[in-house]
Amino acid sequence: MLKRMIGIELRKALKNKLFYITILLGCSITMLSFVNSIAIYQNELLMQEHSAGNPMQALSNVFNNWSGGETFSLGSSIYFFVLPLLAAIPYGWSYCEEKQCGYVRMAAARGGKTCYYLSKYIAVFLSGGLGAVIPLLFNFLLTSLFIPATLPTPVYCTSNGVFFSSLMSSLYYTVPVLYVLLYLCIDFVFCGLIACISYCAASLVRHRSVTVILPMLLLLSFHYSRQFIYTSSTIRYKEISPMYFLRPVAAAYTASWAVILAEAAVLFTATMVVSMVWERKHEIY
Amino acid sequence: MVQIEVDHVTKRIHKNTVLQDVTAVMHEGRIYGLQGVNGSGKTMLMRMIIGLIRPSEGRVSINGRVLGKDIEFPESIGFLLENPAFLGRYSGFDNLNMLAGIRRLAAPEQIRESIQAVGLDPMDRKKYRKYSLGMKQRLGIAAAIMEAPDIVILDEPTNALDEAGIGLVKGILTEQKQRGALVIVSCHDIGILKELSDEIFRLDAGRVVEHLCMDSVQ
Amino acid sequence: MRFIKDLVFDFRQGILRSGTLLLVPAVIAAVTFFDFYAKARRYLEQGMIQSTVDYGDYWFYLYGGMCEYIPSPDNPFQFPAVWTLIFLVLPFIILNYPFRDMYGVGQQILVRSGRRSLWWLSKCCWNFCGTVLYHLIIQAAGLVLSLVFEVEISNRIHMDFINLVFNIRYQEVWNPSSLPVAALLLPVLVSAAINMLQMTVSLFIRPMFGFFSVAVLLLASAYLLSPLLIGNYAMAFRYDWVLKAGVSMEAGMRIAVILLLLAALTGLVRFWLYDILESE
Repeated sequence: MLKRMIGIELRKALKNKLFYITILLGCSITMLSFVNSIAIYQNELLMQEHSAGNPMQALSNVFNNWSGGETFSLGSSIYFFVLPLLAAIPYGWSYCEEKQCGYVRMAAARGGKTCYYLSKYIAVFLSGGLGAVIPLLFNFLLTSLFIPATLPTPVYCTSNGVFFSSLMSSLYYTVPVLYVLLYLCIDFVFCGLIACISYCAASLVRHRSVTVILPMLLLLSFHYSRQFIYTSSTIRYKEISPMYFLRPVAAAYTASWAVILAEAAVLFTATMVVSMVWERKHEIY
Repeated sequence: MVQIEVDHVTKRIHKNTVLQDVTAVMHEGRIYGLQGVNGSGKTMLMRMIIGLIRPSEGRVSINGRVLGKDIEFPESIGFLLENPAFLGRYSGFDNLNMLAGIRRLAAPEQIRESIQAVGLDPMDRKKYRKYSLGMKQRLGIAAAIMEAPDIVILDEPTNALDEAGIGLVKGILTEQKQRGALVIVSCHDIGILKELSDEIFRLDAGRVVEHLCMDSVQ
Repeated sequence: MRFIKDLVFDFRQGILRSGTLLLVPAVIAAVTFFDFYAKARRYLEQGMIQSTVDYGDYWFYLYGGMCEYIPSPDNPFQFPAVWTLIFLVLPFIILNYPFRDMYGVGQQILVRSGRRSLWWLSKCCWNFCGTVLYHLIIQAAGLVLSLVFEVEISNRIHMDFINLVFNIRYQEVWNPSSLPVAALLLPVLVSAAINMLQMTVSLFIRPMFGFFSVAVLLLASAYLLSPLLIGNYAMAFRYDWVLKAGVSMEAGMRIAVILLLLAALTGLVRFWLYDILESE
């Protein structure tokens, strides 16, 4: 029964106009970054042609030109800023809608509350993760068609944005493709959990647009709380804000496994408790 | 063999007592009517039997198994409660197909038959949100009967229906009874209830104030 | 007469009874004030600034935004958290109110208003007043906290503090010592224009995408110093009165007013033809 309900929820989540719109929006935003990267790369090629000096071929590669690999283009800045929205828009609103229209009682009475809530959680998680990561993957693959996958070198670490203390820096300079894939996995999991915040918001909120936007504002508020934590200019802090550490290349402070895993665990626990314990305990009117 | 036992059930929501010491025993192959004014507790009782709410006191058992303790929801039930509840962005058939997919008790052919039985077109691709109120009501009834459940609960099924629709509903209820289902139906029209029901429970302020056995009346 | 009734209704329901609209700006003001005050004290103790800060510095801290961003690989873009929070929370708060009248019992209200144009104009007024009130509450809360924490209430600003907080590296700035009145009003006007734009855009696309567009607009404005991106006129730091290459405040006033009126007019036409089908 659970398998069937998961199948039904996944079909609703992934064969859904808002999911397609999110992918399209995401890809359009990453195209901005792509166009910028190509322009910069072509400019570098032109300069290399007319220069007799060191061509610095390892300076520009796909790993520091794709949307996640750079932190200074408009496209990548917009993308990672609206990432919580891109995660929640595909299916995060569905529980709110189904609660309001009464569909919950139809599905729960047939499949049981546990099956319904769990399958909904899984579908929201997967749709959120995919909605956020597919455009990044698209951008990476598109960029790799035009810019070579030269192995990055630590000599140009300022251009790469990955330093000695950065997360998985040794992987970046040895097997950068794996670095990219791992970071996409981190983004997938985190964005899935962000979408689940949207799902859980339906316990408090009646409008689906509000449930979709709430995770972004929560993350923005959490991002602001850095002002109270990062008070010293001499301490090497670790990045705590998902709006920054979900970027494969650090925008401010470097990411750390401890912070990422801890925040993911907290998010997972909180969303699970709300959906599987709190909501499930309530009667369905 | 289907039996529903509502045993001294009381339900309080916040400070309101919506059901007070309700007792009823229901068997398969009969139609039970619930009659009463608005707010008398008919829908609450139906919700209780479906398993959507739990009693504050007493218990509801289906075939000897206590709801909320031994089972969460009745194993074989179809219902229409208050307003029909479907997803606006899908067609009528798609909505029913998704619901049927949960238990896989109804093949697409059966779904089409039940949609046809309520007077709708199973091939109609119109989205549910574009349905008229009467069409929504009919689809709700179709959802309740498509899996040929042992228990059929219909809350005001004749709402928003024209005469032809009401005739269809009467036919459906009789058919379900003949099939051996236990049917519980609420209706404002006492005439319809008296015509169709084998037993009628009249509720007032959450209590059963009268229990008519139509076999003995007739 | 009916318009006045609609307006009074919207004020009562959409402003006075909106706990979020009244409380959230006060909370934002409190949190940002403590942040500002803690920073100022820290800088003073470390000798990084010469004198204590004034209320004008707090105002600038809220509405300054960020200095001009020069893209380069060794200069990652970091969006201005305080400014973004202030200008993005309000569109979220007022997002759904107009559309509540388009489904359920709200349709009763809509029909009773008599004319769609009056209904829409009432919503525009509500939107504008709600925006002004939001910023007023932030300012008022800031003033109260300044009094409590003995921060001088004046429009003086201290560029040494500003330069530290906004991390000025190589931008060319003037050295103003006080806030002009226009600088106080312009961010509020721009905020009203953006909210009006969101309300109108939400008539064409879903409200969640209306908000999405506002978020993208604000971020793009923070990224790019351009007179074409209206968010620049909401950042005090980017005015030509502070930044030598900044945007003109007068142009900002004109653009904000034009955008406000254009959005209201477009919405009026759109709503006049709008089918209220409860599809959202």
